[in-house]
Amino acid sequence: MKKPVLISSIALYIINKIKVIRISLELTTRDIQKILELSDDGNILGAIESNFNPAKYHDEHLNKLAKAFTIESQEKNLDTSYDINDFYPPVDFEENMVEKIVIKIQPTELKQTGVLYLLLVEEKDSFFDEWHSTKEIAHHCGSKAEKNWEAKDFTAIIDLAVRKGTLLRKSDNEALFKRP
Amino acid sequence: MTAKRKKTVHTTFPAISFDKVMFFHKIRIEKGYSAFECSFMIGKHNFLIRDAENPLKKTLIDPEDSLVLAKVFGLEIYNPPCNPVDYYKLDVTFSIVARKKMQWKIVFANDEIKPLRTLTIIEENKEIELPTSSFLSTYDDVQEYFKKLIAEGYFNSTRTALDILKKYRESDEFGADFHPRYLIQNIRYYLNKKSGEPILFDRRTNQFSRRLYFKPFDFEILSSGLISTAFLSSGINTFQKAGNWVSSLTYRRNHDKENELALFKDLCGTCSTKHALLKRLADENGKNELKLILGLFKMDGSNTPAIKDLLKEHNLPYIPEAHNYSRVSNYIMDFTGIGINETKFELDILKEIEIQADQITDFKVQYHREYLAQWIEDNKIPYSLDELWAIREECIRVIVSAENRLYKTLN
Repeated sequence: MKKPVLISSIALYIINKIKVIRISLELTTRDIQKILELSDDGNILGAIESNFNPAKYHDEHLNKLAKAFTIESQEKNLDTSYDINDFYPPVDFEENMVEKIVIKIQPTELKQTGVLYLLLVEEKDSFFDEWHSTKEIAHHCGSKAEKNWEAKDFTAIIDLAVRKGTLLRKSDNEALFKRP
Repeated sequence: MTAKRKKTVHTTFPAISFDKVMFFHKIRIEKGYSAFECSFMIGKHNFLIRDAENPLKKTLIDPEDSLVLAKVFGLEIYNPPCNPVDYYKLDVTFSIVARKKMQWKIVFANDEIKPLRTLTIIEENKEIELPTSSFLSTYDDVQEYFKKLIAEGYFNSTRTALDILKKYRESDEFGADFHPRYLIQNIRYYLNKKSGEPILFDRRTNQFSRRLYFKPFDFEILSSGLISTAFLSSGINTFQKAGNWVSSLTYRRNHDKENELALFKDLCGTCSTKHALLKRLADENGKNELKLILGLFKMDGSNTPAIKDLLKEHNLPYIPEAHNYSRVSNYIMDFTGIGINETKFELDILKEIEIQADQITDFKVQYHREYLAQWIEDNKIPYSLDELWAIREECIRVIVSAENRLYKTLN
């Protein structure tokens, strides 16, 4: 019975655009909360990405996010720099009131890093409850993203995930990984 | 220019929002648009841009208004670049200069901004016409095209200023570089009761609070039909006057809903009898573009405060309620006379169909009950159809009694 709230098509476009970039850069909602310098208990991002709350981004948020996304991208050697214009719709975009349906990101829209993050952190895929090799992880992510990925595509990404603490390595001798 | 009565204020402003105001300020000056012309195109209030450019006011240009300005100016990129600073510390010295205009001298006082940046803004006359290299055409040519649009029925639907500008720019005569100066002057002429021809109406806004322009639906009652005769006998000779009379009648159920003249007899009515009467009047006069609508909308504590507690008691966030109203082209007209705001109401509509005046009784009830039955099933509502119908009846009683209390208070 609960229906999504109505929101401007422009505000929704911006919310969805930020979500895609956030996930492709492996940023959690808590990371965004910190970027926006909001208190941890406020959960404004939860409200912004909720279909039932009219909260939306303002330019002040977008300026902070563009700067933080650029730094994050450089740290990941992706070298994309972001600007507020990257979050806004094209000029021929129509202004309407629409149901606030925040997009569910599909693995097919992301690269290796984004897919691993999406499955591991955002979607809490049960595959990562068990120990898996790099090759198995590459195949699993590839099957979700409809790509033929191999172990070598994931070696560095998994190392980084282990360092960040989003993946756990079984031991120094055993290259098996699972969710902590 | 000699400044008088100087005063300095220290303030802060979100840096990116300030940059955006200045970004659009620079473009509008380059392209020859006054602050008023920009505000008019945005459609909210005539001084929006003037206020945004006043560093002592907190008015911002939001994402939706940015897109409107981008369309007006024909910009692909319509935001300033990122700003490393989050907040500007501004020292604003304001003074009155020639012709009683306000002048603001702004110094950016952030430590990280070196060398020191300053900026001077002088308040602009509302009616100033800035030089432009865009195509202005002439007032008369713009008016000719305007008359053509009126004759073609373009203004029978509601239009924003931006819609009208787009229409001009799409025409071969005016083209994509058309500047809206004479268009704005013509819109004002067709609104002005004193010096113009008041054909248009602008007392409505869309869901983004942008002003809408349209030619109100009206006609002279000429038919000798039953309803037309009844109105003419009461001294009412136009549809608008008929609408006003119907609106002014008390909101109360009629003794015999089937009686086409029930409102004249009872001097009261509900949404169904009031709008059915107006539909019959329009039909008798050959104005079939007026449609009688049966709409199902989310009746909740926000749009109907009187039933807030009752819904809470029954653990229902809302009840789909049936409502009758009129529709012409792309807008709703509600003559129920209980203060329904058509723009807000439209956001709560779940479903609507066109009906005929003789369908306001059995058909309406049957359609409403069928919708509720499906709603109960789809949403796993813990009530039977009869139980829900009883709650709904209780809601109606509460609304009527609240309306009557208000009516007695006002009279």
